[in-house]
Amino acid sequence: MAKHKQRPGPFDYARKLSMRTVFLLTAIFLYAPIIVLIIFSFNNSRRGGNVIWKGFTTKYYERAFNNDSLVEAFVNSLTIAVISTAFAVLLGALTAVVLWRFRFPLKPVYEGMVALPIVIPEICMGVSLAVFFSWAGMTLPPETPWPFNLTNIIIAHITFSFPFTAMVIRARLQNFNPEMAEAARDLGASEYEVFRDITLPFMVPGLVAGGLLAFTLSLDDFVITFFTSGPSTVTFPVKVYSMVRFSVTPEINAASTILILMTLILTFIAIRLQKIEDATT
Amino acid sequence: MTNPIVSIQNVSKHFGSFVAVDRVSIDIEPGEFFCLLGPSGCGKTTLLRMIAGFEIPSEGELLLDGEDMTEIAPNKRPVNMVFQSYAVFPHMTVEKNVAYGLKIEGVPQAEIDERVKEALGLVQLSQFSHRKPDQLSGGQRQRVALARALVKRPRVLLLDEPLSALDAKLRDAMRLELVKLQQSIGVSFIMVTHDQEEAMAVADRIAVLNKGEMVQMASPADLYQRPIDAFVADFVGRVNMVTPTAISGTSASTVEWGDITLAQSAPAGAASDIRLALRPEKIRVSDRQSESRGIMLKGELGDVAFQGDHCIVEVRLTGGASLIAYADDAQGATLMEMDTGASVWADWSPADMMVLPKGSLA
Repeated sequence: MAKHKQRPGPFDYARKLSMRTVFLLTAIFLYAPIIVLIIFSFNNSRRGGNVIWKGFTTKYYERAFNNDSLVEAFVNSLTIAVISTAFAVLLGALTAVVLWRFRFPLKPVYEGMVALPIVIPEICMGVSLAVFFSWAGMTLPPETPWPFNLTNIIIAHITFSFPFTAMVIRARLQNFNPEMAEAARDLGASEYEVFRDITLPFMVPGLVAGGLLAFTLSLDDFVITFFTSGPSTVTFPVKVYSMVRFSVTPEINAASTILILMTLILTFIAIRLQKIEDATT
Repeated sequence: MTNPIVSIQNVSKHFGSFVAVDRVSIDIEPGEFFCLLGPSGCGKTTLLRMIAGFEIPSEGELLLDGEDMTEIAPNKRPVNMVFQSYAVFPHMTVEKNVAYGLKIEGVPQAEIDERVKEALGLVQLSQFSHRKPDQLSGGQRQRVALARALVKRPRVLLLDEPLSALDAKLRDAMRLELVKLQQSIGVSFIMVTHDQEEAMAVADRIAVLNKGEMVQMASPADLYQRPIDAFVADFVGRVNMVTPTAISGTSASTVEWGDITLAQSAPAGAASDIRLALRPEKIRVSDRQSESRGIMLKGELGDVAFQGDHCIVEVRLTGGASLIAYADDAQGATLMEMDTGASVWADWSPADMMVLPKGSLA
């Protein structure tokens, strides 16, 4: 029997050379810069640190950890991200439920107003928030104790991330079958019990996704933070920016690598949590 | 005479200027399998939702076992519902789904376990108790919804198009299961459906609704044999229907069928408000002019569709209209061997011709 060479079918993506090439190029395009950043964080060279490989070292990690102002900026960023995410998810969830559950006059206007910050240029948001804070007399004195000196940045971060969480949670609720709520009512549940036992568990993937989005948005925001931070409060992106103005040292590579690692771990945990949630409840 | 378990008294429901349900009164007996039947938009689902408590009637009263339920919240009513989409909770196992209603009620855990086990046994899902809904087939999900409602021991079980999401074969099987289940537990079932075959197969009594009004309430056989008007005759089962041009006493003239003798005199009113209706199984189709049973029309043989136990035969009359008739297998075999266009004779007895008011027929 003659052997036929099997031609790849339309769904055998991985067997087509063209497809493999596209896949490879995409991967390189997306990840090469990050990999370069990580590799050179171990480079034993102070000057021109990201060009010539001079041998392996971990001393820049040490140096990053011992750089008090960098650590302080890092802790500030995490604090801001955690607090603003919590508020953004809460506000976003409430907004999403209101938009999904109720009908009221001028609802389309309200819906548009919630979504508008997503498309407003960040620079405008930053300037307007800075102007607003000074107009409202909300400029914090430099001696404000931590973490209250972060209040303005946190408020700003909630402002720009809550529309995203609202959108994500709203999209999740769109798939909610209203008959499920009615079924729970029919089985004896009060409105509150329906929300607690049926609607809220259904929202969880949206809450987690919205939360992750808000967290990452907050963690790496530069523009708005730059306008709303006082002289004594520095976040990680702002600090990195000020350090880069002199030169990109491997120290910055090291700090960035840690940030990437943390984000990866957080995402991984979130995915695991969701899987456990799916499997047990 | 027992008291009705559900008494719908002159109930109407308006949505703005739209009248969804218009002064409907129905008494449902304990242990009865009752069907609300009608085309989409006839108000049958709204009526069911009012019994469940999801809609409040605009007018009229709703009694449950003699107690006024008109404005009681859905979670406080001793009725439970099986939803069209089943609405099984996706984040709970089969067991947790079924237990949910009892948990909310505050039933002790030991009793919950026992009753859930019993309910799952009743719908033959015992071995699936730890599965998640997404690991179940459509038919199994539906049985979860059934068990979840029945475990609450409702006085009345409401079913909203419970079989419409299933494929044809499963639907037939579930029909039988529903009837068996209802008979074994003796709870009243009220089922909404647009499928007249389904209603006829399961129900003790059927209420036919159209445009918010109840047209007729009767047993399946009565509905089929003695429809109150042309709408019911047309909606329930298959029928040949013609509008007479003139009618006097027991003779009617029609364009399509020619002059026809009736066994009963027509109700008063204009001929255009009358419909003559004839069930396909009452017509005999022959290949030769035999002795007539009363009325005999000559025509040409049209399509003959083999159905296994019978044939559906089309007879094209000289007037241009067609008659649909059912032929038994012997007669059907003869007709199937004939050429299309061959001369045939259709005949029936005048007593089988139904003379009906037009009613709400469009």
